[in-house]
Amino acid sequence: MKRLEEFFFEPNCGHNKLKSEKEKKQGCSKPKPGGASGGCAFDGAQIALVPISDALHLVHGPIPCAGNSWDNRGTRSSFSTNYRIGFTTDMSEMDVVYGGEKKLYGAIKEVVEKYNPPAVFVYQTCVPAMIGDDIVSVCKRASEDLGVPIIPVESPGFVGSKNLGNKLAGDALFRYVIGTQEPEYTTDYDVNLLGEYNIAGELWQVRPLFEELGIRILACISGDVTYRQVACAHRARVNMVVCSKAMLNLARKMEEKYGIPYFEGSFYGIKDTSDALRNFARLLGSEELIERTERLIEREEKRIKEKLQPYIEKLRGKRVLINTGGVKSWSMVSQVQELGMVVVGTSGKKSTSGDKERMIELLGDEGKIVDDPNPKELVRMFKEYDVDLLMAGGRSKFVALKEGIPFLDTNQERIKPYAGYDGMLILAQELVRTLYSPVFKLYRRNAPWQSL
Amino acid sequence: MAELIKSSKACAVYPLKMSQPLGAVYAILGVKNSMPIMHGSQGCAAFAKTFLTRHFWENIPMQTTALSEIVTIMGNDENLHTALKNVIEKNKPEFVGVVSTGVSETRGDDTEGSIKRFREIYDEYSHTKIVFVSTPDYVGSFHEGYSKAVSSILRSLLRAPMKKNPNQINLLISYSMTAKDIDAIEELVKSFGFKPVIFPDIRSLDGQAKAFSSITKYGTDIRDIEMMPASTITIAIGESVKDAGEYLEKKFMIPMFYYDSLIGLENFDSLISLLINLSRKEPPESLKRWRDRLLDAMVDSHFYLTGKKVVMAGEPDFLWGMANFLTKEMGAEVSLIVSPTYTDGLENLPVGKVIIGDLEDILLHVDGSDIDLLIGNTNLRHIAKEIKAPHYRVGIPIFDRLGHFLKGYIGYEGTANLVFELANLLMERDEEASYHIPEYIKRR
Repeated sequence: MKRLEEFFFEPNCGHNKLKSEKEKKQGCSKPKPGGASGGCAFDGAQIALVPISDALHLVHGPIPCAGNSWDNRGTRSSFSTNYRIGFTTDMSEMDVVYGGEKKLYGAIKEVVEKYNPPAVFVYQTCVPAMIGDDIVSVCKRASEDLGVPIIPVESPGFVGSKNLGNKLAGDALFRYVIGTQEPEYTTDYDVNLLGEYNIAGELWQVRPLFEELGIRILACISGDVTYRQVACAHRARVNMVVCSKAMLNLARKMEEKYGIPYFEGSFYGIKDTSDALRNFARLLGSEELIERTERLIEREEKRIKEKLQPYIEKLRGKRVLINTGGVKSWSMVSQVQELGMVVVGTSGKKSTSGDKERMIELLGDEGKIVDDPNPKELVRMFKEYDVDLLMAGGRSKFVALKEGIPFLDTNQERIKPYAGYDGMLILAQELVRTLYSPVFKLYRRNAPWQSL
Repeated sequence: MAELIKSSKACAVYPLKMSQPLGAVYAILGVKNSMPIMHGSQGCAAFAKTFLTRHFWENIPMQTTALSEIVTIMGNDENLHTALKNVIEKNKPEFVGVVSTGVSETRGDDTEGSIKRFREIYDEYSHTKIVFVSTPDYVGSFHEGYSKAVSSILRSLLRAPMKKNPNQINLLISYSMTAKDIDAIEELVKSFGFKPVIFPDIRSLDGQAKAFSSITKYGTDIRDIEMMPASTITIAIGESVKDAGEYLEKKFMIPMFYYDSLIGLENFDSLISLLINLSRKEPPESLKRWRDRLLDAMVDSHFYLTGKKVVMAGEPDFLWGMANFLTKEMGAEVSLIVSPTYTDGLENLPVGKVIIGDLEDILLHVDGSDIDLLIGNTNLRHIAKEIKAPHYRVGIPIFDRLGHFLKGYIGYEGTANLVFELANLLMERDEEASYHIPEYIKRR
């Protein structure tokens, strides 16, 4: 695991740049015992790779790693449903004593024969890593024997947080997948999206815009994508990093090796969506494309703003607290501001310094950056800042609901897509739904025996 | 205030209406050791019996005067008297409810007079109570039939005022309540130290009867009905029993507390307040716990129910509570309700349109693609199929689901069950929809 240090020196990571030499050696923020919330590196690796929908995702480990997590993501695919099947070696006590490599090899062979997949991703977890199972060589041998790419993902949970796992996944793709196949043809307008997971079909909300502009999404890493598309991703002309932290290292390495420029952006909100399209047009470098892009943006913005008007009237001035990670912590700020809402605070916990700069710019004097959004702090903020609504992931859901505060799920389990222009409308509808639900008033009503 | 539309079609399509005699029979079956007799041709009873058998999955006691062609034209007491005689001798009911039908009413029978003559001629059957309910098929619906039967039974069985028993409470029960609902209200009233008289008690058809019986084995005991004038108050649940409650109030000076339904938080809160004030007792811990559970259920479910567009169809008592709860407490939009019959105040429900009509009217008055949920009896499935919306079964008849009669809908616990069931249907649909691959993606 010596290579791990390499991930802590991500030169383009805003976090890293701000650190002293000593801090840099300590690496990314580590989970705090007794104060941990959020997934492990294995979780992060799965999140990033499972959306490669026609591949099989085989978890080497005892049952909890796959058993407690399979099919729990909101990612959607139009290609295959393989990604929704949980596969695990389900290691037993005997495997722990005698080593699990044999079982892993057998498992790979079995699923390849049964499902005939284009590739298998094999995820390393804590227990086999501790007993020294060498998944890289097992995968190599299986790959040679079976004639199917078997990709080792070295992501035991104890190496770090979910975020680190995203990077490990990106590394596995860079080492073993990207550049191993060639597309049938290429165009001057081939691009990749990195860190877009097609949660609830969000990619599908923006894909028609790309198609209209004649920009081809070669690979979306990883959302609604095939193994082959990822393998051909090195032929793209531009990369967009959608989730700023997860795939930044992959973008940088692809730039270094294949000369693909990248930019960071988001599809949350009208302005961000338009900016992303503009950036593509600019980097693809055709005047004609830039012009067409502007026309599309003008038309779409006008269309969606008209549709949003009745919702904005209901949402204007409502006070929102946002507790979500990475790029969403700022891109969602601007998204709800476009709906006329007031953001009283957003989480800075999982954000890079770049993310934070954007937050400060967006929040102005009204909002706070919350560095440690633990449940008690959130409850305190509900009261102090007169919060009307919490936007957060599933973990904070019941902090809000138990306090009788309307809530909007921004996490990966949600089934509503909020991306692009049309996503704004769905977001507005969902916000109105929860904000105006009579249940919250009833929640605070006195029980008959309380007036005794 | 809803827009009230009286369907003016010549032909009812996908009928929703059930006949008055059926409603009356339903109430009579809530009396212990009883037998309903339909005064009409044989088919009137046979259809009703089959209908209720399919709904309850139970044997339904029912007899008929089997009017023949000649009797129908000529008219006499004979068929009714023979039917009464046979039923009383063979089945030994304590109570016989005679309901008229379209046939006997069209002929213009004086059924009440005929029963009087039967009494005069056959003194030996005087121990059996006989009550007549006038329910021509061509007037009203199930709702009115039930309402008339409940009132008629009280009017004919109750005589003189009685000394009040401060611990006794009359509970008049709507046809919209299930066995579980009746259990719930009984236990609630008892937990405050009161003795309830539950009428009608349709738990007679809840499956508890183990051996075959040609008359009802359970239900409200006639002796209990006769004690109703001694009660301190009447709690009437449902528009269908309001008349009966008013009768008790006027005739015996028993104050009535009326609830159009006990679905939802506010209705039940107000009932609990009443019981607390009356008994000066703390409610049991389990009740307090269920209130908190209900609130949590409502908050958890609101993601799936608030703002959703709902269409409901059924007899009025089913509509009141459900429509009020879904709109006022869950924030759903009830765009349309269909009732087979008009009752006072239906148009005041917080819904878009109220149609007095049939199930086809749903298709004629709403855009199917705009409906998220349909609530109504089994027959509504035809509409659900047409507009591809999930269908929650509530009402009469339900013959494509088992166990509906043992589910609870009222009170804190019942409402929690209801709200979860509805939310689950919509959750499943939302989840499925989120896996739907858009056409423009498929075309690639």
